[in-house]
Amino acid sequence: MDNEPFRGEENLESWLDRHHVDVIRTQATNLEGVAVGKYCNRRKFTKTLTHGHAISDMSLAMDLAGTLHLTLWHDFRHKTLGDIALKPDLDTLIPDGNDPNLGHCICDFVQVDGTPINLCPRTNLKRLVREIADMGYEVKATCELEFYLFNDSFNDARRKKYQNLEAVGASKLKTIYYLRNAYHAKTFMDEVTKRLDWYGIDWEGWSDENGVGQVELNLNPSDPVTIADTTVRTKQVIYEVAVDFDMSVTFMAHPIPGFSSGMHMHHSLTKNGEAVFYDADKPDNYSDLLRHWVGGMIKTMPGAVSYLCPTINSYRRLTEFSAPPLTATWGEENKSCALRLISRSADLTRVEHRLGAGDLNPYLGLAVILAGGIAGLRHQIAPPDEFNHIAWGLPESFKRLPRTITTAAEALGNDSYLKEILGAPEVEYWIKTRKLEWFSFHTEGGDPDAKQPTPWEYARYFEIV
Amino acid sequence: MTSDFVFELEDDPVPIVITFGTILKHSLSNPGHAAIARSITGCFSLASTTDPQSLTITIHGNHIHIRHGISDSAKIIVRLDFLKMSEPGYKPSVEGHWRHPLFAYKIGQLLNFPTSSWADDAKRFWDSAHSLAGMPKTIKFTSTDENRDLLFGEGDPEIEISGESKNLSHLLSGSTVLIGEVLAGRIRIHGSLHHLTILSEATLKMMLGEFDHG
Repeated sequence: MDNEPFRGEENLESWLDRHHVDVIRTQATNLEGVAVGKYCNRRKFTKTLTHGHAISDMSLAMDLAGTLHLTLWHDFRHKTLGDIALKPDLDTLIPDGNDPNLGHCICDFVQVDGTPINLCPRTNLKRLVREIADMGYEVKATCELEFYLFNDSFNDARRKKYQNLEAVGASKLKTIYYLRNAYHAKTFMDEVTKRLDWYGIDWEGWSDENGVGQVELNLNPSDPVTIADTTVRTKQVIYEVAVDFDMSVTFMAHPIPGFSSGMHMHHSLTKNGEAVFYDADKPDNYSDLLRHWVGGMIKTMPGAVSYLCPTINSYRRLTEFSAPPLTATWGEENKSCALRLISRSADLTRVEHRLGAGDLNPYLGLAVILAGGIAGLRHQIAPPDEFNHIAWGLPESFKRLPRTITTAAEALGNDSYLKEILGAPEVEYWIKTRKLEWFSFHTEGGDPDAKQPTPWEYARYFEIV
Repeated sequence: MTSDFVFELEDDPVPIVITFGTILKHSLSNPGHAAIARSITGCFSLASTTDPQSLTITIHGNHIHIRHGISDSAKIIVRLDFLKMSEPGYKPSVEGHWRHPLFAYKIGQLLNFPTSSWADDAKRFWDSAHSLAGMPKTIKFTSTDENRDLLFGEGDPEIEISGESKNLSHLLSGSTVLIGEVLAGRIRIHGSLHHLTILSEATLKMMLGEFDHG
């Protein structure tokens, strides 16, 4: 049995026959970045390709605890609670490889008549990528996944209320790239990468990260929608291997004291195959297009924080000298800035956006980053001067990015560029979801003065984000 | 009038701070309560007995500062069920009243917020919220213990909201949120999910002082 994905030119029935696929697991990603979907039998899947198969409209309108959004409304919803649909994107249909009868397909949330829903994170990202394509450019992007791995099973972790878990690693030192640490995770990661290979996911490498039990996995760049699909799939694979190995894993941004988990996002633009961020005639090799692109991302960064740091826990990550940026700055090979530019050669020129937390929704994260770039091009926004110093430990006079879920939401509400490009109704809805997250934390037992994650955060985020 | 009181909330305030700021502003529009507030100097803390929320209020002249948490310098700490505090006969527990009896007495008076009828609360709520996008054109409120209906808007009601007067009053004055009350069974509704959601948002806005109702 080969693991070739479905190609549009092949007959679907014969592909399913050839791969012995009887059941297809469909999935779409809701606003919170959670994969939702169904296991469909082959008949149901093929019969509903045009408009998709039904799913409750609450699947796109619920919080991380699974509670329907009952203090915020978007017009995609039915006035008395009804169905929307998951419309399969056959370009993402793959055999499982591990389970001989199973296939996987990524879907978009649509209305039951097939009409797109703008609030669907994947639909919105696709729209932005098309917009960039209409300008004549092609985007390539990738996400770095960071997560913590524990020897405790999820059941044990739950019983222990996620406290005092045994992190995987050789020592309790906060080291990075130590092969002895990495070796403790190797059996686990061998299974992960084997399954990624079966899924056709082009992973590049993995390594020991700073935190005890923390691992980073890198994916090969692709178009933004594919890389977001891949990121969500990879997170699910990692989770499933943890379940199968009686271990646990979390993508919480700050699950234990010490180093946090981020999701750095790299991207570059080309036109007719030529890198457009690079200009050999400029002394710094930065093209004018890159300057405007960066200018837009810097200008919209305070508002973008809301999407890039979506949870209460995301903000515990934003501390001095712990890797995440705290200022809207950019610099060549400067990892303390929010935007690290890498312009070693035309082929390698790219922007690494370092603000994203490990718990972000990759579709929304990439969308808000691209929206910033689009704003820069559309409005010819000049960037501030390059920041050539360490962007941590700065005097109070240096403006910081929002450090709480409410101030980030407020900044987003004030950002006319992001509303213009991402869609005002969708941005307004997102802001209300963040307000709900804040309200839930404070009124359901969260301690606003806690220096470390609270029981409320563990219960809500550990297994879900 | 509250115009001569200066309210200062902590930076990035938590919900209970915003809610109490709103309640206190409203309460101090009553001249009697304003006079009590002017006679108080010092800080006191309030802690919920039903969840971990707490806050500290500092009054100095016409300056009122509110922040979350219990302060070490609070003269008294009042532990209470925020929902029951305005009910007749409700007795919260008070720490520190032996050392500061007069202060505790005045705080007791200050927290005995002037009550308004559910009908007044309903009118104020409708005046504040009726122009929100998606709001029902007509709402019928029914007090089940008074057996009295109030209709706001024109035409047949698009949603009916019923419950005991005190629960309606809590809801419509910003102490509770509609969906929470419906789930708890204290309030009943007859209408669409859309209107339940919009009205829940409106009651949340009321709670967080997002309507300017003086």
